[in-house]
Amino acid sequence: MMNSDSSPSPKNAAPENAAQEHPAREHPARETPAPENTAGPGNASAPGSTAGPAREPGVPAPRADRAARAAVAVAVDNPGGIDLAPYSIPPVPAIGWDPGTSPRRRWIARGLLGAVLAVQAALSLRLLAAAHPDEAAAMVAGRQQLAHLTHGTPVTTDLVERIHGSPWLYPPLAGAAADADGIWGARLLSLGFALVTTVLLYSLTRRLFNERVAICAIGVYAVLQSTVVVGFYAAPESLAVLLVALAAWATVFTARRHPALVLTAAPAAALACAVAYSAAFAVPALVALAAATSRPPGRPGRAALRALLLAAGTAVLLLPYGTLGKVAGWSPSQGNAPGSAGSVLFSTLQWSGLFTVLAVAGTIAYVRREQMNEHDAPERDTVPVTRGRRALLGTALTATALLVPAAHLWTGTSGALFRHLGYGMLLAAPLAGVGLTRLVGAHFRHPQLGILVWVALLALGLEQSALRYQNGPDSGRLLAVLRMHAVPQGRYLTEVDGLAEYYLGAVSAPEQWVSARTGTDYRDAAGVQHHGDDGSTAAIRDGWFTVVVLDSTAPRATDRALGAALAASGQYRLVAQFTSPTGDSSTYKVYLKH
Amino acid sequence: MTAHPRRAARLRRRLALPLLTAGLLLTTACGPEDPGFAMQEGLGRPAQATATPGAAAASAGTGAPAAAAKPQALPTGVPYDVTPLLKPKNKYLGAALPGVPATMDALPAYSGTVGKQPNVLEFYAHWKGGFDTAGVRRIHEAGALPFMAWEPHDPSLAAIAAGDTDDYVRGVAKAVAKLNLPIAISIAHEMNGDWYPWGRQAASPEDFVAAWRHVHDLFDQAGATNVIWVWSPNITVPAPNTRLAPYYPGDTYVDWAGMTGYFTNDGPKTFEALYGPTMAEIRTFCKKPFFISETAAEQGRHQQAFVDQLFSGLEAHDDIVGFIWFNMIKRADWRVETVPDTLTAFKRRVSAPRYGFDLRNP
Repeated sequence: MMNSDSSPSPKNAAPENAAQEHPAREHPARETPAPENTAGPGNASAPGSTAGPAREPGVPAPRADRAARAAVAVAVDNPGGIDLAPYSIPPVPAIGWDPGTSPRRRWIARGLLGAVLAVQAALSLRLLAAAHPDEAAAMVAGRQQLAHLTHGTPVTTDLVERIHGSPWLYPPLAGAAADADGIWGARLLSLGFALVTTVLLYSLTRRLFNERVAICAIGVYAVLQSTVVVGFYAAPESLAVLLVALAAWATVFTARRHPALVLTAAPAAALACAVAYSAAFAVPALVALAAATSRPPGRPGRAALRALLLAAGTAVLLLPYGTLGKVAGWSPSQGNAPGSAGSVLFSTLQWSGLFTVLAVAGTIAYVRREQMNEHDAPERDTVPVTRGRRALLGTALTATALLVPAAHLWTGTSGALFRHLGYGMLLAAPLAGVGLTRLVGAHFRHPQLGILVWVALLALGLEQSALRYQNGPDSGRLLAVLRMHAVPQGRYLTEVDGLAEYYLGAVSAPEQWVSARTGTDYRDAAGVQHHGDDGSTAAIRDGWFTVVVLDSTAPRATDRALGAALAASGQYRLVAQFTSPTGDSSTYKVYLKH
Repeated sequence: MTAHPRRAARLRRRLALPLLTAGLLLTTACGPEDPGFAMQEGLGRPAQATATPGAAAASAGTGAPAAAAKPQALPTGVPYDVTPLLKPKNKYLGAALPGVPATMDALPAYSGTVGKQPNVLEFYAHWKGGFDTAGVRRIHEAGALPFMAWEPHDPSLAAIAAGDTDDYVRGVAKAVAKLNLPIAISIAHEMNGDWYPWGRQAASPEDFVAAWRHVHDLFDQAGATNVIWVWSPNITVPAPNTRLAPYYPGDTYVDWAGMTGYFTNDGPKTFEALYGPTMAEIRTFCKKPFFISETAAEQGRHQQAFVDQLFSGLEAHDDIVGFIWFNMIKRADWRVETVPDTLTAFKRRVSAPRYGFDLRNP
């Protein structure tokens, strides 16, 4: 059984015998000579061991003397002189249960892992809907990148700049998936990434703690909004989260091996940052994890070396193509909707509050007291993990869950918070698993508490993921209106990137759509060249665009500039406005030149 | 003695997480909605290569069937596109008839009398008097564009601009958006005259502009983009010293530059004399199409000539998209059928193909 019982009871604590059972184990008890165990049970506590003739210290007792002492002891404990059969005490394990794997435990755990994966897949697959602008942008850019890679076709869309990651990594994958089966194919790709991420999370949590914690960790992680949505969302973050999980897994996997082997985690970490610059949120935690998981404990130099190697390796791998500079220069506010501090905090509370509380509670409980089953292979480490090391591990894993909202709070943006939270949730999941197991208690003492928390997380994840796909302005109706006004030679300025390029391919070409978020390169009648927002407003002033689409979630400065230009131009008429059915502030507006 | 504090501490520890969970659930339940993204499942597929840009053809007015003006395949809730109606190929033939839209009884008689069914029907609505959704629907079902002259008798324009009637306006705007049919709306028409409570004697041009923009913005916020906004001053003949430019809300807020002007025996006798100065002044600050939002000819020896002048003027100006004949008795008998010769002239001119058209195929 996967047991999370408290520290071993005295009757099971038999270090001397344990040393006999594990000769490879380094233990002080090994230095002491083992007692004779060939006597009967009465002899173990027989005072007769002190009887017999005195001898010089350091001189071994002759065999005859020992036989005589045993005979005296038998005579004392067995005055009737009954002939006792000789036997020996069986080897006693270090702890009262087997911490190693067994076929039964393995299959139970794998069955539960499969069930969690099935639940996660079901939660994601129910989110059937049209593409989000970010997904459409990734697919349109990806198709063009793929065509460029395979046929040398020039990339004409400006949506490449909408992707905050390398255009050569995730977009071609999404483009190939979209070519195969449209948005469904791209989302299935993300679902595959998400399921593998969960498997890796299970594996690394099992290595850090045990199967029960691992099952609890993936159980709570799989139902979060960030997991469910990003698991069915064609965006670079889905692949980046997988790569972060892979890096974390490699870090834990190489914990007992040569410190240089931690470099095997560096490619995954660097690739994650290149795929989505937002993965940089997870790098500090990965570096700290390399130090915290270093084995054997009590060797800070080795731990520091692992951390240093991972950090340096990741940085070096990011140097080509200036990726390191792009990652360093990235900010969550780039291209994303602004958000007040209150909205960021409230969103964080809604989407990850309970999970973070669980992880923090797990961290505190783990730091205060380590239970013997929450130990990485206790049969192999004799030196207990210190409280400091446990604190480092807990903090390293949990801190990202707090770092992500803190960064969004600092930059005043909430547009992609629901996606970026995934990094923090992934890394905090092992400690959330610890929190859940501690809540349930030993021997399933309080299963109702664990069920309560999991059901609460499931309900929140169900509701929030569904809302994410249902709320907001209706892009379906937006597309219908745009399709009405699409003309062969039309020029379109849009703050809703990607959707029209992806869905209106039959009535317009991607290069006809100009991203207002990126800006317009426009030369006016006087020959003056304008760029960015200035170019967009100048083109609107001259009536250059056929249709202008505004999105209230676009950067505020751009939205205001375009709105003012449209009002001043007098050449555009609002022909459609779509607001969220729930009345939030997000709105699409379609202006038509007349 | 120490058992109770220990038990209490243990109880607190056990209750802490459930209580926190309950608190977070409550907070989540009471919080604002998640600003997510909305999709319709039916639009989850990209446009097929076989899909025709029917709407584009419709908006270009290429004679596509009626269904093309509003493609049947559109999802529900797509706003009615009024842009094809702003400058149609033919001219609107409008009328203001008694009882419309409460009852449409007058329409068949009028149509039979003039020989053609009007495709604009004007009616007058009091501010805060509600919005006659059923009446507007009746007009539309009769094949005409509803034209609502919205009269702020009670609240001042300043009060409207200040938001005193926002709830009412929002209600109307939502009803209009939900109706999703084209409708022309004129707020406080003839504002440059002094015979209405909202006229120049009671409200400044700034009040008028502020009220107009405010109401327009409320309609935009409600998604009521199916409105044709008709800025409708009176012709300048009776108020030559009142400039119109200060009353103009701006091109963003106006679709048609309307005019109210009647042919009277003691007024200008020609179309150019009656409307020319007003059109010239409006053209100095506005390039929107003109729409004669109210006209008629006073009975007398010039009435038949007035009718000819009206139609000749309409035909001479391509930028006039139509007119509304005030066929009612109000301070005078303006009905076209009262005088047979006038009716004959009217019928003859109206019979030209350029007057009237199917709204679904402008």
